[in-house]
This record gives sequence, C-alpha cells and structure tokens, in this order.
Amino acid sequence: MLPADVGAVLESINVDPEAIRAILTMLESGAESTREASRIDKVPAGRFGGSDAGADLAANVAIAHDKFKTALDDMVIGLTGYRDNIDTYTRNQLGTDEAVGSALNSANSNATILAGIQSSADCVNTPTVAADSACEMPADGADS
Amino acid sequence: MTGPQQERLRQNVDGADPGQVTSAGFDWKAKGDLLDIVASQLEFNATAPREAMGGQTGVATSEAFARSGKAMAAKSAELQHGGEILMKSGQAIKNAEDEHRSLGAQPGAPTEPAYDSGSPQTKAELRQHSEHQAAAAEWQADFDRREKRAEKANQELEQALRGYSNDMAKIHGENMDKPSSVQGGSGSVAVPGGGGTAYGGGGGGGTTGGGGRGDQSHTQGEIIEFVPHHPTHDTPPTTTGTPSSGGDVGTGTGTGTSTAPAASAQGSSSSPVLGQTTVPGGSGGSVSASSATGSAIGAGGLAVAAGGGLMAAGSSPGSAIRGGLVASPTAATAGGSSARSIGAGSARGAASTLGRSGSVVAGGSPAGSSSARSAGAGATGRSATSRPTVAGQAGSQAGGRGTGRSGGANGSGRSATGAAAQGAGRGGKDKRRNGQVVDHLLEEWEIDEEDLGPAVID
Repeated sequence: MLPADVGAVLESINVDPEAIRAILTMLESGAESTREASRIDKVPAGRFGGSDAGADLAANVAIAHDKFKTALDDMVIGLTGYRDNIDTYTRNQLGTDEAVGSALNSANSNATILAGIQSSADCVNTPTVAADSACEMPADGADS
Repeated sequence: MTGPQQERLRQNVDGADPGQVTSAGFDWKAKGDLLDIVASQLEFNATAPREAMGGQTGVATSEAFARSGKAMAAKSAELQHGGEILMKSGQAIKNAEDEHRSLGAQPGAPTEPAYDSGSPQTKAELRQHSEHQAAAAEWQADFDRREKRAEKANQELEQALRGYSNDMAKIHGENMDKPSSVQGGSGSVAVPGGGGTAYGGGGGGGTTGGGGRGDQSHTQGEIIEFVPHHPTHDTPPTTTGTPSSGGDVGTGTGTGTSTAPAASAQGSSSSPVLGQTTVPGGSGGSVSASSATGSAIGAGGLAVAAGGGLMAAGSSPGSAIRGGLVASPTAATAGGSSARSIGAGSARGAASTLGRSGSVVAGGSPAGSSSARSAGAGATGRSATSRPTVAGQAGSQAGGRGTGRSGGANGSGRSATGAAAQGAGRGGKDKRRNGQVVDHLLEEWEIDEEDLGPAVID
C-alpha cells in the first residue's frame, strides 16, 4: 500500500489522536480509582457481638465483601482491558509498523480489538455483585 | 446475681466493636462513591470512542462504555448500600452496648439477717425482718425492671441485626441456608441438662471438592451419606476427614476437623424470688461442659492457594487462571500474559473466621436445648461460622474448626450452600477437565492412577 493510500485509510476511519489520548487517560484514572475502591475494609466476625443474628450478619458481610472484591477486581481488569485495546487499536491505525500497510492485517487487527473490547466489557458489565463473573481476562496488575 | 436477660445482653455485645463496624460502613460507602464517579465518567464519555476512533470498533467501544457505566453504577449503589447496612449495624450494636453499660452490674440481693431462734421473734428481729422484706421487694422490682430493659435491648439488637443480615444476603445473593449435597459432616452432642445438639461442621471447603468428613473414603460421583456420630459431651466431636469426592477433577482430599462444642449451660430461674433458696441453675442445677471456643478456619483458602499456584505455574502465556484450578485458554488481548489467579491469593482464599467463642450462660430451663451447626468450610462459607440456636435459652456456642483440601475446590467455596458447580466464587467457569490438573492432583494425593477407574477420571 502506498503512503497516500495509508493516509486515505486513516482519514476514512477518522481517528482523533487527542481525543483518544483523553479516553485512555480517563480509563487509566478510572482503573486506578476502582483499584482503590477494591480495597474495602473487612470486618472481623466477632465485631458483631455474640448473638446468633450477629454471627449471621458477620457471615453475610464476609461473603458480600468477597463478592465486592471480586467484582471490583474484575472492573479494574475490564477498564485496563479497554485502555489496552484502544491503545493497540490506535497504534495499529496510526503506527508506522509494517502491519499498517496491509488492509488484511488491519481487518484482522480490528477483529482482535473488537474481541478484546468485548472481553473487557464482560469484566465490567456484570449487573450485580451477586451475578457470576464472566470475566475471563488475566488480571495483569489488578490487586489481589 | 445477674438475670438471664442481662446475661444474654452481655453475651450479645461480647466482643462487639461497633466502632469498627461503623468505620467499615463508612469505608464501603466511600468506596461506592468513588466507584460511582468512575461509572459517571464512563457513561458521560460513552460517545467519545465513536467519535475519536470511528468505524465499527469505535461504535462497539462506545456501546461497551455505556453498558459498563450503567453496570458500574449499579454495583456502586450496592456497595454504598452495603456500607449503610454496616453503619446501621454498628449503631444497633452501640445502642445495645450503651444499654448494657447503663445497666451496669446487678446489685446483690439483700440477705436476711440471722435470727437467734432461726426466725424473727423479738421486736427488733421483727423490725429487721420487715426491713429486709421491704429491701427485698425493692431489689426484686429493680431486678425485674433491669430484666425488662435488657430484654428490650436484646430484642431490638437481634431484630435489627437479623434484618441487616438479610439485607446483606440480598446483596451477595448466596443462599446460606441451602443445605449442601455434600456436607462437611455432622455430629451431635448431648449435653445433660443442657440438651445441646451440635452439628459439627466438617472441614473441607470449596465448591466442587466437598468437605472431608471423618473416616470415610469415597470415590467421585458417589453420593456421600453421612452418619451422625454421637459423642458424649465430655468429648468434643471431632471429625477428621479422609478423601472424599472431588467434583469434576478427580478425588478430593479433605481433611476436615470439626471441633464441636462444648456446651456450657447454666440454667437459672428467670426471676429469683427472695426468701427462697435460689440457686443458679434452678431446679435443673447447673450444667457445665467445657467452654465452647468457636474457631473456624475455612478450608477453601488452602485449596485455592494450592490449586491456583499449581495451575499458574503450568499455564502458558496468555492463559487465564481463574480461581484455583480453572484454566482458561482465553487469549489475552490486553497484552497480558500473566496468569491471573483470583481466588488463589490469600485475600480470596483466606478463611473468614467466623467462629465465635464464649459460652452462653443460659437462662430459662436448664433442660433447654441448643444446637449449633457449622457446615462446610469455604473461605467465606458458613462452615466458618458457628451458628448456635439457643432454644430454651440454654446452650452453648460451638465453633467448628475445619481445615480441608479439596481437589476441585475453588476460592470462596461455600460447601454449605451446595454450590457444587460453582467455581471459586467465579461460577460458571468450570473448566476443570484438564488433564494436568488431574495428573497433579493424583501426584499430590499420592493416589495411583490405577486405583481410579475411568469413571473417576471423567
């Protein structure tokens, strides 16, 4: 593909580097905030007192804590996944590597990116903490 | 002497730390607020990818952002709600503590003076007797008032905590009362006078592995029927598990130890009557077994840590390890080749030690019964919680200590809920039919492959 053709491709897909940078920044910031949010306090069981109801509450709080932790960890993974995929997409579109020149490679790359976006969404989009996680992505830096 | 309601109130606030509970509530709420900000940003900027990236990818990303923003907002609301529940719980406990503190110690009952002839005869003795009667009546009235206050405080506390417990259960969605198909075991303890029955929770945890239960070996797929044993009250029931079923992956090795309870039941008449001989324990006397010490260690943590570590080591780049033994071949599109072992870490796998300690000094009928059960042993499972039910206001709290390893066990298993198919709290990702897993487990448990029939493997 000639350089002129590459330019035409970029123009046709209308990539806005500045806007994308802003999106990436938002996602990084969001992932960091969510990571911070995932460090929710635990309450030791006995702190609810010695009643049966207190013990039940303690058990439920412990389970809820773990569920929240999982959900929040998943969200961090998902947001990071969004960021990485958008970044990869942008590099593919604007980069200077040889792959850019190939329409076929570009199409394949986009398919991979789309799949990555979907996988990231799976990590964030569970509707409630009670719902089973559908996140299949590796943690890649999420807090444990 | 302390009345039964006051004693119950003391027990109810024993070990409680409303400040820590409330503080955690604030933390959860603050974290929920933080999450809400992220959700809002995502929703607000949902259209940005479409404009900035263009094409099909941009459209798909925008749609994903919009959905993610909504989902995050929903979970933020849940986290905030959880925080509110904790704050309210802390307040309820504090109210009970305040009332307990306000009641203070029960003053001693006035004692009738000794008379020369055994009963009041002289004028002075009759006056002394009369004064004693008045003091006794006053003491009795005070005792009854205190008992009523304590009873009210108990009711308010227990009702509040039950409500908040249900609210919290709605958030996490686990059915904690659902019996497991493979329970950790059971046992019963008869406590003379106290009539205690304790279902000692077996060890073992995890969701697919099943808890180990003493002295029985099972092959996979076998429905395990536990026969309760009946140790005497002198010997806390201890169940030590041996290999039990292991879900999809081979045979699990469960080492469950359930230390049950020991009951300490001391009966007392609910309202002492002066002038009569009042003995703590009333007609039933006092029954005292060894004190109950609740201590529960969930087994899921161990199982997950082992499984997660194992598979992480054996995974290839790009594989995602989800909660212990789950190997996911999903390609890492986010550039990550590191294996994730959610649930394998101590945080997920750590046992929630919810066992409680302390004996219950019972009021009411000394023949009352208590039951305590400690089922299963997941990291967050009920196994880790002794849940004594005090009937007749007599009984003890039993703690179950369960440790177990379960081959198919994953992270926050809740064997008590029978969530046998859930994986590591990451249900629905049961991908354990992995030859490596089986191989390793066989090696770890030192079980010869020849000993396992094809049905066991598959």
